Formats: sequence, C-alpha cells, structure tokens
Amino acid sequence: MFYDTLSSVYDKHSYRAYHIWNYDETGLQAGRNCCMWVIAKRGSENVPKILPKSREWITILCCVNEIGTSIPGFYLFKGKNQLKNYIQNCEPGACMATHPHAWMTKELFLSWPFHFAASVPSGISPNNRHLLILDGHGSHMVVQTIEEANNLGIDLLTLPTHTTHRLKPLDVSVFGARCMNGKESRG
Amino acid sequence: MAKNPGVEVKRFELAELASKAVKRALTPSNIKASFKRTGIWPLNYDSLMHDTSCSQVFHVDGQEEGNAQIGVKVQEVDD
Repeated sequence: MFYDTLSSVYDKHSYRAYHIWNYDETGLQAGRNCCMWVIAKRGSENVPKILPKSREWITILCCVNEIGTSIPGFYLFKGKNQLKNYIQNCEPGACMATHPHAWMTKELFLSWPFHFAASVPSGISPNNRHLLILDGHGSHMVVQTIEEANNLGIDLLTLPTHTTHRLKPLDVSVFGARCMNGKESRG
Repeated sequence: MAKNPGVEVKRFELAELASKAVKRALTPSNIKASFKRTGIWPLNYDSLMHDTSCSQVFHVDGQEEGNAQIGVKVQEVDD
C-alpha cells in the first residue's frame, strides 16, 4: 500500500514538512471558453461558432511543498527554436523550453532536477534530502534522471497508477482552482 | 478568457496569463489543504476512507425477473 511505503520513507530519512514536495505538469490552451456571440436568423439550423485563430498550447511544470511554498514554473512552448523570451512577464526564476509538441519528454525532464535544485529555498545537498512525489509518467522514470536526482539529494516517489485524482495534492485542489481562475483571466 | 471573446492570445501573453492563474491557485492554504486531504502530510491512512465508493448495480424490488429495472446507486462507505 502506498501509505506504508510513504511511512517507511519518512522513517528512513526523517523529513521535515518543507522537504515534502509534489510535482505535476498541466497544460493550458489559448482560445478555450471564449466563444463570440453570433447573430443568426431565427430558425437557422446551422449556426457556426466563431473561435479565435490562436491554438497556442503550453505546458507548465509546477512543484509545491507542504508548507505552501512553490518553486517557479517551468514553461514548455511549442516550437523548435527559442526566438524570444516569452516568459518576461512571468514570476522571477521561471524557466522556459521549447518542444515540437509542447509535451513532457524524457529528455526535457532530465533538466528538471537541476531547475528544482536551483530554486529550492531551503537548500539541497545529499545530506539535506528532499522527497519529490510525482506520478509514474513514462518521462519521469528514466535511469539517468533518477541517478541525477539522487546525486543532487532528491528522493523520487511515484504514486500508484489510477489514484492520482485522490492522492496527488496538486490534482486534488490546486489545478482545479487554477482552471477556475484561468477562465476569469483576460484572453 | 470568457470576458474578452475573440481576442487573440499571443504566446507570451498566454505564459503571463498562466503565471497569474497559477499564482492565484498556489496559495499556501490551498497547498496545505491538499497535502492534508491526501493524507501525505501529516501521514493519515484514513484520509480516503470517507470517499464515495464506486457505483453499484442493483435491482429494484417488486419487478419481475425478466423485466427488472437496473439502476445505479451510490453508497457512502462507513468507517
């Protein structure tokens, strides 16, 4: 059972509350929930919707810990080359990367432990270890990433499959709330 | 987005919007509540015990066997 594993990990490393982190990625698409009004003749059977041209998709990697701290986001854009600094108005410390599909891949996740280690406020070292709870997505479970994370002082713990809607803190409350706010935002 | 229909969102604007939305959602109380709710910290084995169980199929009483209605009933799991 997951809680037994968690309990044994807590006993082994004696973490403090600020050592427990949760990581997840979420996507955001422009042009959702913003249909325009369309004037049509009464009784018309085919009334098309008008949607904005932009179909921009970004992926945001978020990480939070138990005392409520979050580390700056890692933004993934669609594209091959980084032409501009797209995140100039985002929070300080944020990172950006580009990918042909704007999805998380094994190669991109390799850089995540370094971003994490650079942004952790309480410091990180092999003796001051942090626990990172994440889902078992294929891109997360790569030997090289696990080794690098281990050397930096990050212990990775994956959640059991098909339970993240209940067990992953970011899914349970934060991303629900983010979607609500996203609808209210301008755009 | 709903308040500004038809406005095209540029790439950097989308990142800015996302950053604002995430900032609003990632409040310390929100994050703490989620860790508590999932039972990860403080460790709580019973945190998911009050959840609604899966849907169960049941037969309505008083119907003939060949003509029985099938409904879906959701039951709360007791401790």
